[in-house]
Amino acid sequence: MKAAELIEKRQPQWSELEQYVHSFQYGSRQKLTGAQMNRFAALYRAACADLALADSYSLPPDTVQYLHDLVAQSHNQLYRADRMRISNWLPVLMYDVPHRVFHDKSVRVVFVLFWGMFFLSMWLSYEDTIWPQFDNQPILSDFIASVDQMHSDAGITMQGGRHATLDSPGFYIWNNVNLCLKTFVEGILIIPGLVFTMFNSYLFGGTFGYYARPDAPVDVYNNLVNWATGHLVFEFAALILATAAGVKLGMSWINTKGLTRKASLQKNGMETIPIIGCAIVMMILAAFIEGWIAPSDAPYWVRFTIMILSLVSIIGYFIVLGIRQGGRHEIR
Amino acid sequence: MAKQHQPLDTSVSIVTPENIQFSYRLAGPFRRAGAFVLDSLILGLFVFLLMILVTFMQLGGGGGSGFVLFFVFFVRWTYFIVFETWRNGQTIGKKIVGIRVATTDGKPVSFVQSIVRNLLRDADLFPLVPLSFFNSDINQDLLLIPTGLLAVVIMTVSSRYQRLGDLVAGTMVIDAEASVTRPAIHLNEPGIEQIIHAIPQSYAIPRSMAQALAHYVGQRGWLSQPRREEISRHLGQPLCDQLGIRVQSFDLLLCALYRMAFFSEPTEQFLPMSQYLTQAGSLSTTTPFVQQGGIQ
Repeated sequence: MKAAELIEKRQPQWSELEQYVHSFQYGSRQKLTGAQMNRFAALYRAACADLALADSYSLPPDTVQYLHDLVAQSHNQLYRADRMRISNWLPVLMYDVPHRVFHDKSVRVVFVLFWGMFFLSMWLSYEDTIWPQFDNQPILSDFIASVDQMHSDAGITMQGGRHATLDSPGFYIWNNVNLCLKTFVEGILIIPGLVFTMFNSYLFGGTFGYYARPDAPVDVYNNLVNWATGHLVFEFAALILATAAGVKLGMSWINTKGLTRKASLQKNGMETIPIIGCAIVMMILAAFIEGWIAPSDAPYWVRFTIMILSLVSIIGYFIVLGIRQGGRHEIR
Repeated sequence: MAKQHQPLDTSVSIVTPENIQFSYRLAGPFRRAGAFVLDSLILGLFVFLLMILVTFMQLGGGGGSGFVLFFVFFVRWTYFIVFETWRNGQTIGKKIVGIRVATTDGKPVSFVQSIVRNLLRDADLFPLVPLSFFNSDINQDLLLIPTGLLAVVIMTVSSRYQRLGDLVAGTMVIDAEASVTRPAIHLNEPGIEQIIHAIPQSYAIPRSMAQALAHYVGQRGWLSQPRREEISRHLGQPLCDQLGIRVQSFDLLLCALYRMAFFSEPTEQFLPMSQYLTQAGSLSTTTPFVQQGGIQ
């Protein structure tokens, strides 16, 4: 059969398949009957066969290109992605995510670096004899001055007092989650991410160490502890996880463990998602606490209870659930 | 043995479970950048409208900027993921430009893959350059402009024009515009039939030549007659020498070969052969067309 005859003979079927593809793209497949679905599959297989034999038929190049596009679009509709189902995610959230986070080397390394730097900076700032004038380092002293201004009684009065408004969580979610994602992105470049996170731990550690001294202003110390008690647990944990997720992805590019760089990136990319996901959830929780509880008149025992609950939930989820063997459910 | 390379790197071949190989045309950086700009404009418009709404609310004693920031954050991070997952890899910008996201094995992008590639968008937009870099008069180092150079560099070294987010998620961006087909072109120029009958019946047109002929016939409608003759001479002259025939027009010779390659035998009546075709050695070697200086 000559090519022109073949094209004329097949053209109606190709057009019908085109109509199916178009209806799938802009409508719902669920409206189709079983017979129509069978027809679509049969037309797709016929188009595949035409494409496979295009060379033997000596079809013109534009017809071959058309068949490539038609088969590609049909293939794209026939093999749809799995729909997201909560029931699929439940075992992933309860088994795989805590297991992966708990056993992740990047999380452990960043955790040790963050808290190591925090407590070292705190100690050096508190014990003024080991490194005299440690709290007078250029950036740390500016940070302490800004904290002093914000958390002194006079500073709070000048700002018109602290009120829990509905706006506050929105601002903190915007600010903190963007910070979390920025940390993750910088973590991919490894050094910038680690430097950023450790610099933050240095500043916070130094500041808390300074205000823990007997000679520090008492009103600022009280206000600072009141403000920090509720939300910093989630915020620091989120910062550690975001940095660890980025570093893990960055390291997968360098240390491929026998895989190609692309395969290593893809494997670690999928493993990174639960870590950064947990970081974002914790940042949002921290934002709500910071927006509603921290500026409120809630007594200290309420803030302390929230801190304990935060700690218990983090330990329970990442350590208690994480120690168990994961179910190896695929994250899709 | 030297590795065989594909002649073009703007398409990628997929082998289906049915063991059929087909190709996707890849979307280049410029079309993707265009789609991103369109999506950014849509998001910008949304934020602008939201700010107007909040301004009116504030005038009436209602909500504040915290709500705007929350919704801007929410929309910014969900717009791409929601559209790519539910609209089969197409945001509004991608739809306008005619591209879509697909997995590297040609399937639609999944929810998790969309999250991964969009989470890494900020990394792809690195490095960030302060506004003062472009204009030294602006003393504003806090406003950072994303350059997207990292994405461009990675796309140039990737075989599928993948940015970092695509590499990690196992996705690629493809051309979503369907090409149109048309039946093989019917050529009815006078003289074609005579040339067909003059060509030896034993002559088999090679496949590669048939493809070249299809390209030529598809394009010749855009060319003037002298230009057609100029182009067709490169193939027509050696063919005439090989087949031992002479023709008035090499353009008609290629059209005749196209008919032989793609159509069944002609049924229409044709004019006396001598008017269009001369057998080598039997008639004058000078054709009217050449006398007109048509073939240079």
